[in-house]
Amino acid sequence: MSIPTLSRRLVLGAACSLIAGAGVVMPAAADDAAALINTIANRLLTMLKSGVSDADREREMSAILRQSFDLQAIGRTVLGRHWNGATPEQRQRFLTAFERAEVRAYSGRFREYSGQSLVVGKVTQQAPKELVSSQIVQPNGGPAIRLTWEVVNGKIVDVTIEGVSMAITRRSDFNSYIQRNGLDALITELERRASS
Amino acid sequence: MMLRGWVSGACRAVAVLAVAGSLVGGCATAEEGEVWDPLETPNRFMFALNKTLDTFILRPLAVTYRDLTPPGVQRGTRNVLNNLGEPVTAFNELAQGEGTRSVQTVARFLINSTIGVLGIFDVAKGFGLPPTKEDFGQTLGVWAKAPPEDGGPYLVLPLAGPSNARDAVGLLVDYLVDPFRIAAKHFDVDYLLYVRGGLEAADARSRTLQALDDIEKNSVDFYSAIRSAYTQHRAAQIRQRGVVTSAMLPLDVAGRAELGLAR
Repeated sequence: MSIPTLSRRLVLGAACSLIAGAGVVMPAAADDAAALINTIANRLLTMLKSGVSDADREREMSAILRQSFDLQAIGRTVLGRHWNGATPEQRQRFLTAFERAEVRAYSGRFREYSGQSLVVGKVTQQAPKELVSSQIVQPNGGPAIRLTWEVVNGKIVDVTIEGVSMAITRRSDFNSYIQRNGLDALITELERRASS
Repeated sequence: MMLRGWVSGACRAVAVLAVAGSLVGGCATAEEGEVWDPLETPNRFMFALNKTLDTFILRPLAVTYRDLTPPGVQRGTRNVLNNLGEPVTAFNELAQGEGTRSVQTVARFLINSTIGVLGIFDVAKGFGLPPTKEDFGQTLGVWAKAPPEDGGPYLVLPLAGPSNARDAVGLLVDYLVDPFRIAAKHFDVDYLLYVRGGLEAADARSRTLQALDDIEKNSVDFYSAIRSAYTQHRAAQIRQRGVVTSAMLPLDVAGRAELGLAR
């Protein structure tokens, strides 16, 4: 009696590993990129509909950002040419403060839910990037907002809203601040905002 | 009398156009993605002035408009304003070589002005004629050989806010060719232009409340963030010429998920 059970288990295990193996082999990168965005949208929706507290929302936002966004790469991009001039210690401090500031910013954006939906559309390959186009559809029939997600190696590196890239805008913003006040001042400011 | 005024206006526009043409594309940007801003000091001054006016007058007005006016009234107002803008859009579509769309815009205008009761209802949309919007700044961007990110020196205009040489000339040309402005002047009902201008401001600002608040809150240098966002947004508008509206983008619905955003 125990032998058939074992064999059944073995067959099941073999089938599972086959399916898992097939998942890796299949060149389904485009689907993965679209699925990534859909997963995030669904997670957000579940959270918003359950009406969580500010602290819980921030925790969930932080988890989503750290899992789905390549915050290290984004941090390097937004620092632009100042990245090369920064010491390893400055870079580390900057990345930590930047991450925390972004978590703050994103959780602030999802404070109220008023029935919008995200429709994920085409995925365009632009090696090494994949561009996932999507739209935020307003419940009141107002104009839809176009969003493009830039995915590299399964992680989001930029979001473009109506043609405005968050990374480019942030880099411009930081660059001006650094030119006027220096990199250390920027890091201190970001740290101050993250902990306020 | 009116004709002479128009001709002199047109001559002035051509002169400004020539100057702008020589400015557009005549610059070298220091770093990728950075906006050419040779007038940064006066621009920052004007930005601060506009910001003050916005904080005390326009923003509270827009919030009141958004929260206290019935949604139907807001939509009707937006439709009327869009309808009044159709002739200028048709002019620009023609100038950009988009003949078919220009004709469609004229058709929209005729349908909505009559069946749509002076433009209050966008019935043309239901007839397969989705709304479009093109201004002369975009037309110049289409004409220019330069990338659309390069609109000449960045400018902050009094009241009108972020702009550049290309888009400022665009504003002037759109103003000059606008048949409603010409008609209002002709029939001595200039005050209607101010009513329209006020409504435009309230409507436009009420729809940018969330985006601008977000940029202000999350930037360390608000001026620079706006300068970058404005430049990118305009470039995208120029690039997507031919795409009617965002709602018309081809979407193979791979999946649908609802997403909430703070209002």
